[in-house]
Parts: sequence; C-alpha cells; structure tokens
Amino acid sequence: MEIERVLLEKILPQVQKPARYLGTEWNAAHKNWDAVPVRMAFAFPDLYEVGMSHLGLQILYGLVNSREDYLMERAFTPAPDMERELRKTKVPLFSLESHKPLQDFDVIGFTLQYELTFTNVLNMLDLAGIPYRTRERGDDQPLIIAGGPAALNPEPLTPFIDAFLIGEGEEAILEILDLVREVKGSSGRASRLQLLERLVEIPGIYIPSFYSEEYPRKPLHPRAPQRVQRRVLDKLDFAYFPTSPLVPLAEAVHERGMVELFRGCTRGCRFCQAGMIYRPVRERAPEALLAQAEEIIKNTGFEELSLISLSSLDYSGMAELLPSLAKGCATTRTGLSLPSLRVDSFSVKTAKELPGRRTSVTLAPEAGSQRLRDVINKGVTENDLLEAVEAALEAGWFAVKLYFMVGLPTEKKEDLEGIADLVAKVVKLGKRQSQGRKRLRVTVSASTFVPKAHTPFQWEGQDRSDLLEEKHQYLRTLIKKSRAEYNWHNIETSMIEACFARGGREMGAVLEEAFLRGCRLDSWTEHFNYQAWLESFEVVGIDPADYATRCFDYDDLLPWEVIDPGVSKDYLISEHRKAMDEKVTVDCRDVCGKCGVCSSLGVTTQLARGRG
Amino acid sequence: MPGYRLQYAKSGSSCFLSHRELMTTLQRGLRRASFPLTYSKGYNPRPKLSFGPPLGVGVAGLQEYIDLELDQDINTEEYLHSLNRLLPPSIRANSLTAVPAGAKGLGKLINCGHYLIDIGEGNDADWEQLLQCGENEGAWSYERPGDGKVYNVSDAIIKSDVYHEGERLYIGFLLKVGNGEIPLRVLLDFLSDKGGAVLLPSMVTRTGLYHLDKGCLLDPLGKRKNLN
Ligand code: SF4
Repeated sequence: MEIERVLLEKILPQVQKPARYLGTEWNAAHKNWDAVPVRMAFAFPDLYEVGMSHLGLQILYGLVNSREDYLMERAFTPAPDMERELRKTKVPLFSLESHKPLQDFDVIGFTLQYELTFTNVLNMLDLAGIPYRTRERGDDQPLIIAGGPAALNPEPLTPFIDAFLIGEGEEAILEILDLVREVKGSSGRASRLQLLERLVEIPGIYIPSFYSEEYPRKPLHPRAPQRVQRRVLDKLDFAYFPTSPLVPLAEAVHERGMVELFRGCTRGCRFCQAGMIYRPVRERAPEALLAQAEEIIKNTGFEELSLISLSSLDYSGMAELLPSLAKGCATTRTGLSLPSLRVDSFSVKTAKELPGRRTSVTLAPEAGSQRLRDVINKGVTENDLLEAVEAALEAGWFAVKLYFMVGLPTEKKEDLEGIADLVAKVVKLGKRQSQGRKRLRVTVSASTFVPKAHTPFQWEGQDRSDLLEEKHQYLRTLIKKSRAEYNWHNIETSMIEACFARGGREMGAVLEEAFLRGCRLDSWTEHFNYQAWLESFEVVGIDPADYATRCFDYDDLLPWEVIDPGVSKDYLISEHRKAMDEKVTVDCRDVCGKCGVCSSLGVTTQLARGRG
Repeated sequence: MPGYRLQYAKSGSSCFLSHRELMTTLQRGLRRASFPLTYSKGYNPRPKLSFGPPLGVGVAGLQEYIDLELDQDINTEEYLHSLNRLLPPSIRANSLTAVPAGAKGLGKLINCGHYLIDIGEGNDADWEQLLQCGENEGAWSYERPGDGKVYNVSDAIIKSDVYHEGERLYIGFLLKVGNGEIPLRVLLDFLSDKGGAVLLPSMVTRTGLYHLDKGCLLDPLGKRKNLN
C-alpha cells in the first residue's frame, strides 16, 4: 500500500497524464496477490499510449490472467516527468494493477517491437532497482525474459536478458510459467540458475549464457540447441484470443477493439521482416471472428473495431465475414477499420463500405518505379495505384497518404524520379476529378530503408546518411512541384535502428553507454539525442556509419544465425538473387515458394476458404 | 427523443482522469450497458451526450452531470443498475432521471459550484482571518506567473467557509461556474501564496453544481439547497 499512497498523494498530482499510471482500466485483472503462486510483469518498453495499442500485450495479458494460478500485471516506460518523480521519491518502478515493485515478480517479460525502445528496457530495469546486466543480478532476482519481433536478432540485448522467447508466445508463456511454478515450489522465489537449467528444455528459448561468447555461438550447455527454432502456433482457431481486452484510460495511439484475421503474410516483400518471421499464413474462421467481434464490442464499449493483420484484405473469408460484421457494427454504432489497405481499387471499394468515419486512405507502393518494385517484390503496378486513388475519389475521400521507402537496394535516381512522377499523376487525377468539390490532399511519407535480419536484404547495407539526406532532399524538391506534402522519417534514428537490427553483441556496449548518457524514448523525436548516441559509439569504438552500411557476403557469419526463423538461408539467398535480377516471386497463397517454414516448423498455410 | 439526466460521482483514482478521459470512460460505460444512445447524423456520428462543467485533473466530484439523448424510453432503475456494474468502481452513477422536453441544458442551468479543499492537519495559517480579509477587501486579484494574466479572484468567490473536523481543516467555496469563473488552479495557487501551504487539485472535491438565483440554490435535478 505504501507505493499506492505515495503515488496518489505525492507523485500523480505532479505529472502529466496521470491516467497512464492508475491501472484501473476496464477489464484490468486485479487478482489477490498473495493467493497466486506465480506472478509475471509484462514490461512494455515504451509509453502507455503505445503499449496499450499493442495486440500482443492484450493477448498475453488475457491469456495468463485467465489462469487461476498465474497473474500478469503491466508496466510501461514512464514519461520523463514520471521518471523524475520516481527517482526523486525513490519509488521503484511498479506494476499498474497492484502497484507492486517489479522486483517482487517472479518473471519480468519485455516485448521488443522496435530497436529504438532498447534503452527503455535498461531504464525500466534500472528504475525497478534491478541491475540491468545479467551478470550482476543475484540468483534471487526475477527472471528477465524478452520476446517480440526484435528478439529475432537478440544479440545486442544478450548482456541484459536472461532468456529470449523466439516466435509466438501463446503456448510458450504458459510453459514458462508452469516451469517457474514447479521450480519455485513452496519457496518464496525460484532460483534463477535453476530456472535457466530447466527453461533450456522449452523449444524457442534462447539463453545467451549457455552459448560461447565468440561467433559462431556454440552451445556450451549440453541441452542447449545448436540453433533456436522459432515457435509458431499450428491452428489459430484453437489459440486463445482476448474478448475482454483492456480499455485504455489515457488516450492511446489506437483506441479500438481488435480482431486478428490471420497471422503471417504471403506477399513476400523482400524488405519486410514481418513477412518472413510470421510465416506461414494462418487464417481464423469467419464464424470465430464474428463471435469475437461481438464479444469485444460488448465487453469494452469501444467505438471502433479494427481488423488486424499484415495485409488484412488478403483474408480469404472476407466475402463471408464483412457483410455480417458490418451489419453487427451498424447496430451497435461501431466503426470498422482496416489498418492496412492493399494498393488496388478492390481494397479501396471494400474499405468504403465499412461503417464509420474515414477521411483519408493510406496506400503504400513503397517504390517509385516498376523495376524497383520488382526488386523488392512489391506486386503493385502504377495502374493499381491510380485505380485505387480513383476509387478513393469516387468514394468521396479527400485525402490520400502515400508511403514510400528511400534507400532501397539498387535504388537509382530514376527510381526517386519515379516516386515524384507517381505522385504528380495522383495529384493530377485528384484535380481532374475534384470539379466543384474539395481538392484531393496528397501526403507523401518517405521512410528510410533499414535492412533487417532474416530477410532477403539482410546482406545489404543501409545507404550512408549523407547520401540518404541528399536523396530525401532531391525527392522533396521534386514532390514540392506537384504541391503534395512531403514528410520524411528522421535519418539519424533510422541509422541507429539499422545498427541494432543487424547488430552483434558489441551493440550491447553501445546501448549501455547510450543509456548512461541519458538516452531514453529514442523513438520519440522530442527525446532522441543523436549526439549522445554518437558519443556512445565512439566510446565503444564503433563507427556507426560503417556499421549500418556494411554489406555481408552469403558465406559471412551473421550474428543472428543462432536463431532459426524457419525460413531457410537458401531461400533468402535465392530471393536476394532474384531481387538483383529484378525478378518477382508469387504469393505463396497460390503456390508454395518453398521458403522452408512449413516443412521445418511442421505447420501449413491455413486458409479460411481453401487455397487459391 | 427522450432526454435523461445522469448524476454521477468520481472519486479515488478516477479523480486523475482528465475531462476528456472521463468523457470517453463514461461513454464506453454507457455503450457497455447498451443505453440506446442517439447518435448525431452526418459524417462522423457521435452519441448525443452533453457533459456538465469539466473538472480538472485530480479533483473529485460528488454530484456531476451528463445529459443523454436516447432513441427510446428506458427503465431508469434497470439501466442505472447495469451502468454501475459496468463502470470502474471509482465512478458511480447516483441517479438517472427523465428530463422534460424543452428543459434547460446543463450549460444554461449551472452557474455555480461548491468546492471543498481538504487542507489536512497541522497547517498554521489562519484561514478564517485570511478569508475574512479577502471578503472585506473585496478585490483579491492574482497575476498568473506563466503568462501574466490577471484574474479577479474575489469576484469569482460567491461565498467561503472554514470547517474543522477534529484536527482536520477544510475550506469550502461556492464559486462561479461559467460567467465569471476562474480556473480552480488559479484559486489554489493564489491561496497557496497567501496561506503558505501548497494546495493541489487533488485536495479538492466539488460537492455539487447549482443554479443560483436570487439567493436560492437549485441543483440540476431541481432540489433546493440552503445557501448557508
Ligand atoms: S513453405 Fe511455402 S507455403 Fe509455407 S510459408 Fe513458405 S512459401 Fe509459404
């Protein structure tokens, strides 16, 4: 109760958006702490508003709390003002639900969604009064685990995390907690070493301390696998899904209920890590989705429901799902949204039919020329885009957002000019069709290509930042001519991201230096401190420009090779070669591309309405 | 369209919700409880809810109001009960009553509110004398440090009292709401300056909202309250 009192009386009156720290969200689990044998904290290394929009948190939170014997509570990265108050009042970082210090939990699990949240991991441990280096933690300290997409290259975080869970967590998390319970027995706390000894038996668990320090990482422990295979759920319809998710108190980035149509994506864009590491596609049955949607709306009161997936409109049961879903949503006055639209007129028309407010449509052609789109295997043509925009105009939308990537492998000046051409065509189309009504607003967002581990572009380096700067400037000048708005993502953060995304263990030292220099919340422009990062690289003796831009050969040893995502190296090589030859690979919904996932992980593509 | 007036209280941790967060929380509670809310027409349909005067972050409220427009008549008892089951425990719905067509809205009706500041124990300032002074002077003004904006504090105070409960000290204020209103924060900062104690919004409870007319206090449900 002590923390609670200080919090309510001293801390909350002093901070912005105190609702972030209350823990009284609708559907929050408030369990009897003393009656539950195993307690886990879900630590989201970003602000409340980001974490509360995350489906993975909702799934694991609901799942663990549905078990009587287990409890899961949340902790987010505190905003800087809250961090100051915590340090000043010497209140350790606590869980939101019961306001217990994180130190009191058996397990603390971080989700790694994005490389620029890594300093927050160190900061949260530090605020919790837990040494952030594995080596310095006592045997009686909580087990610190991490999962999520960025854990597929765990190397930069290996000095800080006891064990990584690679792949989907729904089954593994319960296996971990079962084990903690067993090892803990009736004692107050399970010994961390004993726990690791047992955890190594769970598939998908990577325990860095059980491997050699030097590359290639060789197992030193007799039961540690040569390579850690990614966990993947076989059938999604049998998997847990939360129908009473947490309803945010402070406004979150996305305020909506979520149903997950499917996991995985078969399009095979070569830059996209998600497209590789969530394979194969596994769809849920439309009936199951309908039932979930209804429950979610009833149990949350959310004004909007979103159909989450990597490319939602690829869902094969859409024709069956949408009409009933739209009808249900209309009765309960709930908006329906699709977060990711394919670039074609069908998608736009479908989106138009959904109940709820929509003012703008977002389309991501990613590259400006057909050649480069073939290189990245983005199966979109200029025609697709123009038809999609036309459909958007017909539907009465007056804003289009176009997403592109700059710095893609093999990119040339013509490709950038291609972006400007496309944008000009879209603007022209908008003008032509806008007679008598509001003119179409076109916004172009250009991000910077970041090569990611386990993708066909993992061997490619990022462009040097001065070149990227030049490219963005050039593109901006071109696009200005057509009077579209141009936004581009900070090049410096993309460079740091690139260093981590393909980084080895040495990046752990950089991370620690950066944390000690006060780097926090690096994904927020207002908090990102590039100078401090540069100093940290320098202290460790790494030149970030070289590090981010380095190219690898096929037979070079890659730091993340200890992780086996299921996609074979041969497949990645052949995809990389095809990219260089400007050849496309078709969607594996129709024809298996032999990426190796299905055979090596023992799963298959599952479509709601049959293949093809 | 039938109109209803909901009176509710927010206390405990819900005090820390901003007005906007509270509105969303209540709206979702009403949706969970399947209130047949009427939605506005047009591009961006929203439920027709009108909230009473906002409460600042940290301030508790015992009798706050929302007017709701519904598509059909409801059994108020049943809906009130179900709403309370579906709201966080620190927000309680006190009553739900039908409002006759043509009745004045909350914005027009409410012109003052009663606030209670819990000063706590062991504060030495002589608040009684201080407030007395203020009344006599009749011209308390406060210049906000940030932007230099000047507020006429005495004008915003209709009445003030000091209460003791054992060792605990409370100051009560009847303050203007709407016309002549000053931000609560300004009053607290002003009093903090004068009284030498740090007064925070989290020490304040708004106990009621009223219509003051010719020396008579009437709450939005039509109940009369003694001014003294
Ligand atoms: S093995 Fe074939 S079907 Fe399975 S994910 Fe890979 S390409 Fe798709």
